[in-house]
Amino acid sequence: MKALIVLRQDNLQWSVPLASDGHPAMVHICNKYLLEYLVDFMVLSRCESITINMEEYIPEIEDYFGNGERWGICITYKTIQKGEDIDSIIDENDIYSSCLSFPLIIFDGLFFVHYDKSDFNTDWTQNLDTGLLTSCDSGNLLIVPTVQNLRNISSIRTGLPFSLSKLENLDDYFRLNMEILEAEQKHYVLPGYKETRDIIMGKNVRKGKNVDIRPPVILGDNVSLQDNVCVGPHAVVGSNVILDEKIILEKSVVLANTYVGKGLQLNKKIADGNQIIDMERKYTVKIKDNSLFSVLPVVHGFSLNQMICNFAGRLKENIINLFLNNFIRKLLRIF
Amino acid sequence: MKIEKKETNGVLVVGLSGRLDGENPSRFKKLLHRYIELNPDVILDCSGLLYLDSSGLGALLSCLRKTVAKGGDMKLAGLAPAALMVLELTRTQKVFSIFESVQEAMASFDPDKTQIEFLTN
Repeated sequence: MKALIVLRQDNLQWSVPLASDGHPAMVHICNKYLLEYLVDFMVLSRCESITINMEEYIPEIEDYFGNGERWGICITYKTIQKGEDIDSIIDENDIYSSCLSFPLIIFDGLFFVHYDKSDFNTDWTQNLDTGLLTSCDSGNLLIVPTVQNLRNISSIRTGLPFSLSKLENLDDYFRLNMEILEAEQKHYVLPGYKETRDIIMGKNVRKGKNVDIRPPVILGDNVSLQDNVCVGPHAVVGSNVILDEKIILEKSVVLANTYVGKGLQLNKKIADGNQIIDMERKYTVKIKDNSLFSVLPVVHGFSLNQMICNFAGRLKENIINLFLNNFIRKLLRIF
Repeated sequence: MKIEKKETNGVLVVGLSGRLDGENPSRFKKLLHRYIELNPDVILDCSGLLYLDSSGLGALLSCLRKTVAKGGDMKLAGLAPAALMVLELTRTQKVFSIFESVQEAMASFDPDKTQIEFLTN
């Protein structure tokens, strides 16, 4: 089986406010890239290869997914023309790669595929006899069982092991995060380990005194929770986030590399660096006050914690070198 | 930042426009403390206030303390969503009396008190 993912610029506009440190296509849902959910879905559906078709080449996607080896799948990339229709994309994929294998699954648009990883014990594509089309407001999912069905896709079938959720604005994004937190944590492979029921912790999470974590909560890698912080219920905290003392965080999403200042209260908010989105009032504000919110510096591939350790290591090395140099000089003077 | 004051019905209405951040708050605080010495019933008309940061918020809290100590009150009117969000995030929203307009804030002052003050003025 092969999959074509078609990413169009128009479908990505809504996620621009969430992309302060990356491309809008690399948006996170519950600390996992949206595209990675699709890749997981394809892996579970026994797909062998995926071609990601982009209107504009997005290097961040290739940097992360590479050739798909990590997922045990072959991933290739292709640029398409703006507004190119699905028929011509299929033709081009057929001509240039000459390896359109069937069944073929086409993701056209940006949406979320709800599935449960435990529902994939059998190959759900085996019994398909006609082409299928399932749609939501922000895209279509086409399933073509054989080449004969390629131009004959009409039926819409229910009872498939997945459903689609539209993703065309920040409301959809926020609702989806909360839905997964609330009811679908077990359905996906989410980064981190389960500490207790409905609490997923990333690596190297540091907790201060009297930290209260109320499920459901997802914490990313290298999260620092200072003293008397209260996280949850319904909170998603991205990687390399620092929540300073006495913060109350509920029904909110804090994206990666964000510092949240002392004593703040976030309720129904999305925080991305110093940009705060109020989901109730539908208002976005940039708070240029580093004591309240700021973007934490992250060198790609290194967490803040690693950077501090590296710096401390180098400092220690320099001090030892200085001490040895002085010691050797003194010895030389004596002899 | 621009600060304008006028007195209506015995209540001091101070109009703020621009940004209350960086260097501005100390100047604002000094000026407002001087006004409060003369009249501790204050309405801050924030309809022109574009931005408020933690230092600006500190200045507002200091002025509120001063008005309360003098037996008066300080009310905020016409806050823009950005400033309102800062108050909400810092949990100071409940500390201040916040109104949508100066008229509403004016109506919230004790009418008898403002009447007497108006007559004595």
